[in-house]
Amino acid sequence: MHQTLLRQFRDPELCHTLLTRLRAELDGELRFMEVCGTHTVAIFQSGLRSLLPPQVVHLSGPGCPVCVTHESEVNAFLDLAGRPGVIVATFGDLMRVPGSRGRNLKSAQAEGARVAVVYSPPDALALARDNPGDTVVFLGVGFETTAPTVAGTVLMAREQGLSNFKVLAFHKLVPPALEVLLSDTEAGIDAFILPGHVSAVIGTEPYGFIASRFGKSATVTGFEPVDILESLLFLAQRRRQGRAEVKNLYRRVVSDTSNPRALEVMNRVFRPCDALWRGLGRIPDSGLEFTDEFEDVDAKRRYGLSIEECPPLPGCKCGEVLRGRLRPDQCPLFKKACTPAKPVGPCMVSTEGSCAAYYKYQVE
Amino acid sequence: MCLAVPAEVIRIADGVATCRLGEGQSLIRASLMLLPDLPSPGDQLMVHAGFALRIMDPAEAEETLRLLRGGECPIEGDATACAAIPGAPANALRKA
Repeated sequence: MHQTLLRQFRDPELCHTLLTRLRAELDGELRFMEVCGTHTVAIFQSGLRSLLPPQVVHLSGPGCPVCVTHESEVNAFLDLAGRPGVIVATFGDLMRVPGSRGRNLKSAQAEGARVAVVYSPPDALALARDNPGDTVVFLGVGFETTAPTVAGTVLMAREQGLSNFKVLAFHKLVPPALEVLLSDTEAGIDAFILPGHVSAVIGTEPYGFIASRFGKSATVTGFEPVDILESLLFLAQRRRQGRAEVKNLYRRVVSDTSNPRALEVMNRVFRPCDALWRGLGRIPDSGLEFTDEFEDVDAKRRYGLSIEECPPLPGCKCGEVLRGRLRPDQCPLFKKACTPAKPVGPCMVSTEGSCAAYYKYQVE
Repeated sequence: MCLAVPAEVIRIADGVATCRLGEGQSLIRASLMLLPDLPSPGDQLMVHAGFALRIMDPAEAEETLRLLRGGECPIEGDATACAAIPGAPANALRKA
């Protein structure tokens, strides 16, 4: 597909037309939550947020993988870092996410831990190949988009006979978290914009319960302004009609069925387990653990890491923000004790975090 | 970290595609292990963390733009709702 075609999804004239149609369609407040951190940034970066009619209330959900990584899981990363013979390999976003005692991987690195930032799981595999005397442990966080890439890398490691590659896996699954959000009436979510690239892996079928059980509408959506406006128009239409439906509006990338190959690889290496989410607590079957076939890759077992649930950071409201109960600028720490230069909570750390987006784009 | 990007296939060797990233001249490599079908040079892939997750479908992109530019409405079978929208033809129904 030519880039000129993709650029048309930013066409200002088409955006203007869609905005006019959206205004005409609204018959009251539409509180929508975008689940994905990339959508959060896209909505701000494109300037859309300031153009949306005031009846459209934008809530940011738990779709930033770094933001939902629980304090206890960060504590496990820190427990691992600094052990003799271990090189921790991680995506850069995790470096400054605080554990329950305020420490992070960057401070562990400053204290002598061997922590390497990589851009992809195969980069961590190359690190293992280059350091045969050490064990490289990749920190596996992220949703159904990332979990297959980590699973694929585990298969590559086995094929290449690299036994010094391990993974500390805290992957999370999106649909169970949506159930928790839908059961929470306090945020008053009317509709969802669902994560486009998670859906590229799982398809749209796993989201059917949003309409059938909870009576809400949702769209699978791309990341350009036209994509987002088309989705809001659809959601407003459904609301006015009193109908609920889950709709795929990102058909150039997502089909209603899953990517079977990606799921096959993911399900060979991982199986569902309960997981801790920052702000949402323990959610049954919302995480992934290694299957018996790959238990030798599991850093949790290899290093006997215990994941003890710890309380949230004092004063941090990231949990409330992730549930849509609180806007970032309503947190008492926002722009005072908590800034991108000195973040208290993960929503300010990650570039995909809603607090960081509010800060960067100076939303009033 | 959860940022998938579009990238155009330049060449394929040993299950790995060398792709041009976005509109620039930067090249990236993407494993094709997670794709059910093999792409061809010129195809646009959705690449995340070193792996291609989907081959993008330009016909769907063109269809979406055509419908939206025609003022068409994403509500199937609801001509009344479409007619209520300024500029939208009453018989314009998006395909399922």
